[in-house]
This record gives sequence, structure tokens and C-alpha cells, in this order.
Amino acid sequence: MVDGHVVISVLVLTLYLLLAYLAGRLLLAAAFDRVDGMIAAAAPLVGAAAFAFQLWAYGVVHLGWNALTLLLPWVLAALLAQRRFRDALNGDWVSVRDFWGRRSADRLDVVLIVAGLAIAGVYLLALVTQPITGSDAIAMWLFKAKVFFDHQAVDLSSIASLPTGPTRHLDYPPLFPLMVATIYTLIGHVDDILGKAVNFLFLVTAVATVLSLIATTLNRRLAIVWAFLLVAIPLFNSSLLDSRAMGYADYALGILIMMSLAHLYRVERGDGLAHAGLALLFAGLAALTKNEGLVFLLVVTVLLAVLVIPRLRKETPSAASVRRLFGLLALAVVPVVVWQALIRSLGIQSDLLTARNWHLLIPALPGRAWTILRFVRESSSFRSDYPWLAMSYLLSAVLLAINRVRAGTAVFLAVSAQIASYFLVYLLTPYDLNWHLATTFDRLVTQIAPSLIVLLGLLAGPWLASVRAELEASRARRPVRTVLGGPVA
Amino acid sequence: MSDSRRLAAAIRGLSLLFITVWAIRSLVVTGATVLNQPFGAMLRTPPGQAQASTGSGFARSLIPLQSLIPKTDRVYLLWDGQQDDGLRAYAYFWSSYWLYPRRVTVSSSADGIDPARFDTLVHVTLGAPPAHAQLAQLTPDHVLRYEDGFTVTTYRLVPAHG
Repeated sequence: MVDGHVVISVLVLTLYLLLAYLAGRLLLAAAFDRVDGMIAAAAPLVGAAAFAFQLWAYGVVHLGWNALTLLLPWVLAALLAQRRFRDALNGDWVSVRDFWGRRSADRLDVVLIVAGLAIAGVYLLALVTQPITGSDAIAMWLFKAKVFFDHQAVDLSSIASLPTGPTRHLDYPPLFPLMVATIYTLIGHVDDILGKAVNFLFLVTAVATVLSLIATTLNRRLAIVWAFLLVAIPLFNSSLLDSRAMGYADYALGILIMMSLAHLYRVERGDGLAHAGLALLFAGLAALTKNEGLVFLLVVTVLLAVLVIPRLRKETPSAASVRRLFGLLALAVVPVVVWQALIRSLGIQSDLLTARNWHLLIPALPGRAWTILRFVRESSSFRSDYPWLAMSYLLSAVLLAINRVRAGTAVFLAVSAQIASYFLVYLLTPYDLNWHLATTFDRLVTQIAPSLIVLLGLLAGPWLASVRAELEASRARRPVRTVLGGPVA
Repeated sequence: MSDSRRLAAAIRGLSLLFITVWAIRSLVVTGATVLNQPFGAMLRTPPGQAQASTGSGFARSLIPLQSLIPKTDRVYLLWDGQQDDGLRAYAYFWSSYWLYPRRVTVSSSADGIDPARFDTLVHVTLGAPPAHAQLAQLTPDHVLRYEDGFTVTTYRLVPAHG
């Protein structure tokens, strides 16, 4: 007999996903005149982030956190924009129907879809049933969610006033705990185990985005292959299946980085400015999820400036689309600035920014670099995904060099800059380097892995798609032959 | 076909092979991991019960303590488990999380037990605890014993009158 609490948890998480999608879709419909499949696929994350910001704002104005105060504004907004909202939902339904109903699935498609769905289903079950055992989940992420919900505000001073103990890293940004607190707000109480299942939202949004991105730019078969990889690579088992790493924000950050890069790629291809806005928005959300996202936000802003400013000069887009772009820039950057100002006003700073003895550190840098490289090499057993991800990165670099199409360069540069920033942090860490590597390396790989998978898809995909198209064309031209070459009777 | 075009074709072929092998490997490894999950237990066990039976005896004790200690209490947790920084951090993070909103002070010394500042004392021991004179006059409220050697005892602290 299935336990009732498990069933309720699955239903609540599904409801949260649905509400986040509806809220996000409402916002996207209001923000953009034309919403393509990939923008629509971002809706659950946009909605979940909007709920989180809503709770943050309620805390500032001392408005209670409950399902009514959370959802009522959205119901009113949906009523006001009824026709537009209904058209948007209809459009999404048609897109989904077209994607799956365009042609009958062949055997490989079916295997990948069924296996991917089964794996995702088990992730969902594990997320809502497994206990919390990860130290960072208990010490930081879920603790903050609990305190925020209890105080109905992003109240860091209340945590700082607790009896002293080891550091809780109050500088870690608030988005992930606020998303967990959104689930608590919907159900009206803290449910520690259900709260950590918020990572499922990231999985669903990532899969929808990759399906749409690769199906739009390449073809459906490749979209299914890459979405399957994103679900099934064993590295993500730890975040979605293993209780020791559940409730951590690294997987969420990895997906936000990937989402930003997916939209950056569309900007590189010359698609609408809406993608530039969403690339910025997701980079901003990454910076509000973990501090590693701050470097990423900076890198994406610079790359977008390089890509978009010449376009703005040449194409003279409508005033409305430029306004929207700057609106999304503000949405991406302002909460990050507010958060950084807030923690500084409370005298909180990252432990990585503590003073160093540069006279001792600088001569030690070559030795430290060697230690980092040695650790990476020793970690790269073929039992793990690390060598596969490294190979994926190297192949992407080579493909970029030989591809005639340059789209994907900005994505490659952003991924490379993020990896370089990790290396730099290790190089300069005030902690014991070996300890820092041993306790964080796997999580940093989790943060970059979704982007490495998608990067290879973007760079290898155009060729794979053209080969497939050539094969199909030649099949159509020639009479059907048997394996041995004789014509079919 | 020129050498450079042949090289490009080889690299592209390699990427196709790589993706295929990577997808198959992911299917096999994650498939095996997924199939090894205890589905029956996951579906039948209430999540709260799963939490209460996971981890060390100390971690497990915190779940029943949620209903044994009033939510408004100020708690002094006397840690007589293994004495190293990591384990003291473990005691601090786990107790402050699971006993929240109670304010928990964790210490390895009984000197800080002050009935004027704390309402409940939680004494965590592993193996044979050292003798604490401060505890001699207190009467235990609840004693929770676990097979890994952890014993968790709660005491109600009553301020002396006058």
C-alpha cells in the first residue's frame, strides 16, 4: 500500500510546477509579443523565481506569506489578461502537440523517451521520500528556507542572532531557499523532505528547454538524445537520487547557467532580442542562487553587450523591444545588487574574500596550480562522468575550430570563463587547498555539467543534423536495397 | 577530399561515436542505479519515518525531541560525543535545524548550564560519558538510547527561587 504522505507530496510538487508554469507563462505573455517554444519552456523557472521575489517583497512590506496572498495577484492578473493568457496556453499546447505528433517515433526515440521518463519518475519519487542527510542542506539552504518561512521575510539578522556556532555562510544568496519556502507557503507549513524536491522543477524546465532548443535549431531526434543525456548522466544521480546531496543548490545553479547559455546561443544565431533578455535574466537568477553565479552574470553581460550592441545599431529594433531588453536587464541585475548591498549592510562577506598573505601566496601559486591539476586528474576515473565531460569540452573546442558556422563561440567562451573562475578560486582560496578541493570539486562539476552537455550538442549538432538530412535525401532518391545490396523484390 | 576536410570528417565522426557511447553508458549506469532503488520502502514508508530512522543515534533522536521539547524553549545541548571540530559542527547544525525554532546552544562543557538562561538541557553521550557534577542533582525527563551507542537525555531546568 502506498503511503498517503508520499502521494500528497507528489501531488503538491506537481501543483507547484503547474502554478509556476502558469505564473511564468503569464509573465512571458505580458512581456513579449511573440513567444517561441524555447521561451515558453522557460516558464516554470520564470514563475518559480517570480514567486520567490514576491515572497521577498512581501517580507519587506510585512505582508503575510500564505497561499492566498501568494496566488491572488496572479489570479487577478490572469483575469485581466484573459484572452492573451488563453492564447498563450493554447499556443503552448499546439507546440507540444506538433513536437510529438509531427511524425511517428522510431524505436530509438521510444527507448530514449521511455527510459528518460522512467528515470525522471524515480528522481521525483526519491526527492519526495528520501531523508535529508546532506550537511550543506541542513546547515544552510533548508535552514534558511525554514527561518525565512518562520519569519515571513528574508531575515538574515534573525539567523545571525542565533547562538554562535560554525559559519552558516549568510552571504549565500536567497533564491533557492525562497523557492523552497514557496512550497512551504503553498502548503502552510514546513515540510523538510518535500522542500528539497524543488530541484525537480529545474530538471523539468531544463529538459523542456533543451528539447525546444535542439529541435528548433537541429532536429527532433537530436533533441531527444540530448534531453535524455541531460536526464540520465550518472553525475546528476547525486543531486536527484542520493540523499547526501539533495537539498543543495548546485544542480539548480547548473541548470540556470545552462538556460542562460541556451538563450545566449539563440542571440548568437541572430534570433529575437527576447532571447538576450532571458539570457540575462537567467544569469541574474544564477547570481542569486550561488555566488559562483556572480562571475557568470558578469561574463554573460559582457558577451551580450558584444553581440547585441552592433545589432541594435544595424537593425534599429522597435522601441518596445529595446525597452523590454532593458527591463529584463534591470530584473536580472537589480535583485543581485540589492542582495549584495543587504549583506554588506549587515557586515556579512564571503569567507573566500578574507585577507590573504600575498607575500606567501604568490610564490606558492605554481605549486598550488599543480596540486589542482593533479587532483582533477586523480578524480577522473572512468567510473565517473568527469572524463566524459572533459572529453565533451575538448571535442567542443575542436568542433568550434573546424566548423564553418561560428554560432556557439560565445557559449564556449562563457563556459571556459566559468571553468577558469573555478580554477582561480581554488588557486587563491584561503582554506587548505586539498580540503577545499575534496569538499567542493564534485559540486562545481555539477554546476558546469549541464552546459557542457548542451555545448557539445550545439557544436556537433549542425553536422549531425546535416548528415541525417543527407541520408534521408539519398534514401528518397535511391531504390530501397537490402543489407547485402540487392534490390528488394 | 583534402586532408583538412578528411580530418574534419574524422573529428565529426568521433563526436557522433562519443555521444552514442556516452548515452549508452548513461542508460546502463543510471538504469542500474535506478533499478536498485528500494521502491517498496520508498512508496510505503512515510517520509518522516524514513527521516527518523536515518543517520546516527543523535540525528535520529532529534525527530522525537521535536515533540518532547516545547517550541519556545532555550536549549543547552551538552555534547559528550567524540570531541573534534567536525562533530561539534555536526551537533550544532543538526540540532539547530531539527529543533528550530528553539534556540540551541551547543557546548562540550557543562559549565555553561544556567537555569536562568536555558529551559531544557539535552545531554548527548556516546559510550561512557564523563561525570558532570552539574547533572547530579537533575532528574532526567526522557532518555533515548540507540544501538550505535548514542544516549540522549533531556532535563528540564528550573531556575532556583530567591
